[in-house]
Amino acid sequence: MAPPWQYFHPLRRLARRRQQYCRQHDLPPALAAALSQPIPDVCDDAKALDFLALDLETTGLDPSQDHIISLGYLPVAQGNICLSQAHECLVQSAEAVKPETAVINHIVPEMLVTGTPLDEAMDALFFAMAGKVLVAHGAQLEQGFINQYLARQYGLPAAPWCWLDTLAIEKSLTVYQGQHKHGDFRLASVRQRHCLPEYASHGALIDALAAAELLLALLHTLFHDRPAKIGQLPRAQCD
Amino acid sequence: MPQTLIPNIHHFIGQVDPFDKLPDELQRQIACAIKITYLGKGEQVHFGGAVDARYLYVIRTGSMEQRNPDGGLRAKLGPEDIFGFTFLDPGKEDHQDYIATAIENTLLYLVPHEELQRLLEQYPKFSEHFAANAQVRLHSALDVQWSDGEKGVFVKKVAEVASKRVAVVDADTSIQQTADEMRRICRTSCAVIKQDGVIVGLVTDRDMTKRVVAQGIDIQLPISSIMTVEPLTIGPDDLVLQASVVMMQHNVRSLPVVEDNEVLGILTTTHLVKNNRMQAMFLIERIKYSETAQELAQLAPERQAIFEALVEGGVSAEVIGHVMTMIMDAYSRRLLQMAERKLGPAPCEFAWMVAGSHARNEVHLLSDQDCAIVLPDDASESDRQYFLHLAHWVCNGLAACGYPLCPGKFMAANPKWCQPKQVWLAYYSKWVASPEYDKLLNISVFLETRCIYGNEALVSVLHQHLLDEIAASSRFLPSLVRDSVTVNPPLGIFNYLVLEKGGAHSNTLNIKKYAITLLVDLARIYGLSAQCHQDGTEARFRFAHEQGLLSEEMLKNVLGAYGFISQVRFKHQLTALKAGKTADNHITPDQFGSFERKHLKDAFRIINDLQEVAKIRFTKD
Repeated sequence: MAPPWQYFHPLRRLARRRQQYCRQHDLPPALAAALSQPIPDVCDDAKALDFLALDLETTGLDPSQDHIISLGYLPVAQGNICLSQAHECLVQSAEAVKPETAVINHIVPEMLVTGTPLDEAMDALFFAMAGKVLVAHGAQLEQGFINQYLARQYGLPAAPWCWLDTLAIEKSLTVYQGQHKHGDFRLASVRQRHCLPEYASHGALIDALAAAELLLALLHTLFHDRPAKIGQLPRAQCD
Repeated sequence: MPQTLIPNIHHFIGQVDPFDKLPDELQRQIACAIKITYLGKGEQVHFGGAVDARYLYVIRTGSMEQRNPDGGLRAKLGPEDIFGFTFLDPGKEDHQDYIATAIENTLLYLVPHEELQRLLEQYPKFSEHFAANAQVRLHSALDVQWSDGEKGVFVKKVAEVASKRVAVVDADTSIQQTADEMRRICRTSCAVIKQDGVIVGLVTDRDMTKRVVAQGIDIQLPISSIMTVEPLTIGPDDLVLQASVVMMQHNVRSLPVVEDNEVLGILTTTHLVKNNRMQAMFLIERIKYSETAQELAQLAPERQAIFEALVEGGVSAEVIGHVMTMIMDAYSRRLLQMAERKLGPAPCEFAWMVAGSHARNEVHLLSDQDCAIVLPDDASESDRQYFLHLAHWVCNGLAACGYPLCPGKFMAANPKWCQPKQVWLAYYSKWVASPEYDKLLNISVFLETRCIYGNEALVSVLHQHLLDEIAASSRFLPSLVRDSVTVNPPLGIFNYLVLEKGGAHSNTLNIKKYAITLLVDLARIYGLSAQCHQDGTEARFRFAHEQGLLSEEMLKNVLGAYGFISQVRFKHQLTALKAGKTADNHITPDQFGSFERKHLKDAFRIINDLQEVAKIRFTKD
């Protein structure tokens, strides 16, 4: 149990906000599941937590104008990434895929015709989130698109998610070493610095896996064999 | 597994031995079951005791080391290396064999054992690759090399090559009827003769010429009067190579293919020489009919061609050694005959005795000459001078044929090794009585001997004398053991370096010194201790097992290790030959893929285990 002066710790605040959110809104079952589990406490060991590493591929960076075209996520339990529970889907969409994003993620409009309807894909994601701390590299994007979906679909305000952002954690490391702002924080570059393997292909799930591995490496870099107190980790700057 | 992971995880798994042996679909299913974890430098793997928490571990990036419970280094492992087989053994409860620690930050793939077993049930033929037992894995490694690539006719089965046309006649059929059957009905060069359903003889068209026509025999006589009695036969599943070895050894040109007393066909030299490489197998015949040392020397490239074909065919080390030995025997015998013709007939009996690997039937392309002469005790000094001349001539002749002179001068041309029986008996008595550590190396070559020319009795007396002396000595075998175990096999290959037992590295592997010789030594120790009359390394181990000196488990382990290491050595020599270089025993570890690294590690460990066992068995007090 964390000491009482941690009352104003962002995690504690987040926990209170979430309780409130769940009380105030009549949540659809999938979202209720995603938000039902308590948020880890400040002193909990991150290495023992369950995570869900997540990546969204979108048509652009603006949640109000762009669309989710693919989701990939996989759980990390007790420090083990479980490929058997990995999930990836393309989202069915009539919207045109912009040529400039197709270049990046190799998703072309023809592939999306046979994809999963967005509601179905999001419900599956919400159920998978239950009880897990979310992980992404540059979580603002994922969070922005998920909240945009909540607003459009249910008229709900932004939900109090619990994110760990590998990008923010990495930045906190390098700020430490006095080289901020101009660094290269792209997922592939950061992984290279941590001696993680290079993944040839690009996609939502492989990026989610890449972020999950990076998180494990970062937890070790920060805490070595000591418990990784989650309250000491920088979180996504977006709630 | 979703699409985007396939090219990444699956591709990686697909290049790691033994996963690379599995069908694509199975690789994919295994990749889907993988868990990935990250170990920071200094962190240990927690080997779960529970069955559902057992894994095979594959290093994706980073490196790890294994240490025995006493802290001794067991192995260092890098990317693509696998560990955890030992813990898959259902007999191992939560007993820890070793500790595995990350020595760099390491990304580790965990393949759940339960899932692996479930998947392998659908593909039983691949399950050997994942056995907990090193020897089973080594065995499967040999099998794999066996089935790889183009095999050539050597390693085909007899049934695939032999003619199915063969005449079978009763013993009381007349010679003429038999010839008619062969010629008209079956159009074959051979007839198998049966009596009461049992094979009793063989007749070939050559026999008809030599034994019937040339000698004017009555063609109405029964065929049994001129047939070759109790002919050699070969089974349909035997290798063509074995058949050709039998043909050469016994100088026959036809072998009936027989199974359960049923004649299935006939294998003749004609079937074999259709293939160019097989013609090389008849090198021995050409050696026999060479008239000059120069002619013999010109055959050397063929000897190399045979070696290459054998290694490429994935033929077992034992057979390769045997074939190469037969060729060396043929060279030696032919040169001895030529020498006798040149110097005049030998003034008295003698035995030409070969030693070392030549005696063990383990000749390979790098083998040098180890030979000696044993004379009867009444041989005079001038007789001895004759034999020294003879030996000089033969040894130089062998050198011209590509068998290097022995750097230790263990050759019959050295007066010390051209001696009457009495002197040889005294040599052996002295060696066994005072096995000084530093002299053992020098005489170990004569612990294996074989007569290839002359009076065999002169050599067998020496061998029996050696065994008797050893049985009566309490110091000799312990000295051999102490001498041999001063050299230990390396732990494995890590980062393109050979990792030695103390943790030091070197950048080449001397596979002879650090593996082959150690096994040959151990086989000698076990063989001599069990009074084994055979000198072959594998034969000695088998005999020691039959005598209860080696457990079945250890026997299989050791034979597997020997087979694998010999194969690695031969392949290395082959690669050098093909690149136009001189073959040697020094292998640079960057030539090893994950397959070799893994199995070499197993083999080294087995050698080390046997050294430990031998120390306890032979050197206590």
